[in-house]
Amino acid sequence: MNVGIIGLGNPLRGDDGIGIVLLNRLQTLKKPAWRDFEFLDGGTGGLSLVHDLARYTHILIIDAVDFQGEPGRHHLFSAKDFLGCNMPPKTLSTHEPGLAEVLHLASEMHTLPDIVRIFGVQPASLTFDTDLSAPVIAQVDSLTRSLSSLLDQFPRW
Amino acid sequence: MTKDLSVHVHHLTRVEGHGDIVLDVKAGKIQQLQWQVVEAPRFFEAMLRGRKYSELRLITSRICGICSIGHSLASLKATEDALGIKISEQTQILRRLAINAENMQSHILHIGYLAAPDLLGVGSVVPLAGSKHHDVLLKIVTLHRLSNVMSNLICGRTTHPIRLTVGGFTKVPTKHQLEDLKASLQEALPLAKDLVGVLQSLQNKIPDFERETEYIGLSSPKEYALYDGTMTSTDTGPFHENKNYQSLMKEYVVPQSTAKYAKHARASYLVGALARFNLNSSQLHPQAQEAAEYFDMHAPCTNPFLNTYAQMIEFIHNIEDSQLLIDMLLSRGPRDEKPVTVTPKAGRGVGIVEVPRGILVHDYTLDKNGNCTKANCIIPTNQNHANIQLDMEALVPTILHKSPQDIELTLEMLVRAYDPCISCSTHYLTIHFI
Repeated sequence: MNVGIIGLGNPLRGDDGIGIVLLNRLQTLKKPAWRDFEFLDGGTGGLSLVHDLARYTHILIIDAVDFQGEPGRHHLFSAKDFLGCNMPPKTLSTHEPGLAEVLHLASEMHTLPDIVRIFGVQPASLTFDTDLSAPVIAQVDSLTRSLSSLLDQFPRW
Repeated sequence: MTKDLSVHVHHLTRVEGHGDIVLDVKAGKIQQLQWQVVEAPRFFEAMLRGRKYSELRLITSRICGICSIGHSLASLKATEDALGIKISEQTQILRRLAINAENMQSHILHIGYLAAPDLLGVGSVVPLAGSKHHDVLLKIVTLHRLSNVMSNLICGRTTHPIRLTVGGFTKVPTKHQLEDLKASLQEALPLAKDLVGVLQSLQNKIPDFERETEYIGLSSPKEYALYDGTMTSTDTGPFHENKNYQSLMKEYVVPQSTAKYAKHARASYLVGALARFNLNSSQLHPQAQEAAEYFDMHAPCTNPFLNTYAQMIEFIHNIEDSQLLIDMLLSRGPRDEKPVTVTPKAGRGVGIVEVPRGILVHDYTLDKNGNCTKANCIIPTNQNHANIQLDMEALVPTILHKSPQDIELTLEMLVRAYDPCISCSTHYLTIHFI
């Protein structure tokens, strides 16, 4: 099993960087049970992510996702939510090209990992800023705990 | 002709950065036709001032997520020129491998993901998955993956290299890794040739348009110049004064663009794969020459839409060249060399390389402590903006009889053929605060 934990986002665009912030938080925890997990800063994703996906059997993507929720709240998506969704693209990942497109491409090429989970955090602001917004900062500890607990449950994602 | 027409392409897709196309025609007469660069300026040269010589490479790499290796190499050459550093033969070879890796990465991304959808009649690369062109997509993705692996091996990262440093490399690939890479390149060659076949079969989709212009790139008597060479123009020949590059690349500003434009002997010039092909095609490796024959492309080729085809030819050249470079490293045995020790001193240095989109210049002035006091970067896409504009002005009157959709698509295809890196190009702007 190859397990990838991938943070996505642009830390210069406010809450868009939450995926990277949470990835860094997880890495500092260094739990022994996670020693075989590969933690990867996927930057702003894009088509190179197709190659990263092909390396794993299980993948957890941490990203800012606008699912019209309260800022700082999270929702756990599966690849299916992105592949077959009826939501307009703008309500999905905040990056270009969209995560949905990358997952679709990987799916059609049969290189999608067996298990794909997307830990989406609702952003409040995507403006040019190296800091997260106040409502998202307030949730960082809680989001880290949720993610940590999710990683502990592996492979029951 | 009584045609009225309005084409406004806001933020053209499948290019890097933000550019608009505006065309207004009234009663068959063109009222306005502009290639507008609307990306926000990025002030990189200002960021370099006051920074230590060892940081310049790391900062300028971030100008571009596609040609970060090229920016790193131009930066290192400028820094080493200013400090009077001579690099080893092994470093020269590894840097040539790095530039090949980036050319391959960038070209296959443009050919496969950005330009091919136009030729195959789809909106993006995504619909190719599961379509009758699925097999083509798999080849594109495989070649892109190999290019990423190669960048990673030589430079330590797929993007924004970390092993390239002033005076050498911080880590050198092992003999075994180089042997594996060579084998992968050998396996990639047939896939690349298959793509040549696909592109050739689509060549009838390329607009029949010719506009002769000036072509500028590096040239060398030794090789098809990418890493090193003499700045050369098809109009005026070689230009040996590297430090006086600004008399070759005359930059100027226009109201419709946040990026500078450039000209030399005429109103505009072209840089990039097509310019290099026009200057140096006789030095391409044999299988790249075969691809050129297959496309029936001969220098001078004056159809800018064929820049994408010149990129495909270069992709094959880069594979062949990389195999030869790996052989050179293997025959010497890769050595764990330490980078050259640096003694800071005052000076000015200019670094010039060919990156995927054309000739790139970095120019630094350092003080006695090795801190940067002045910087200038000339980006390939800047040098192409004026040529894009003049191509449009020559092209539009010949296609006005077509439908608005066809005109729009043809103009989009023209800009995409240049593979512009708009974010890179919007780096200038001196602000006078009052």
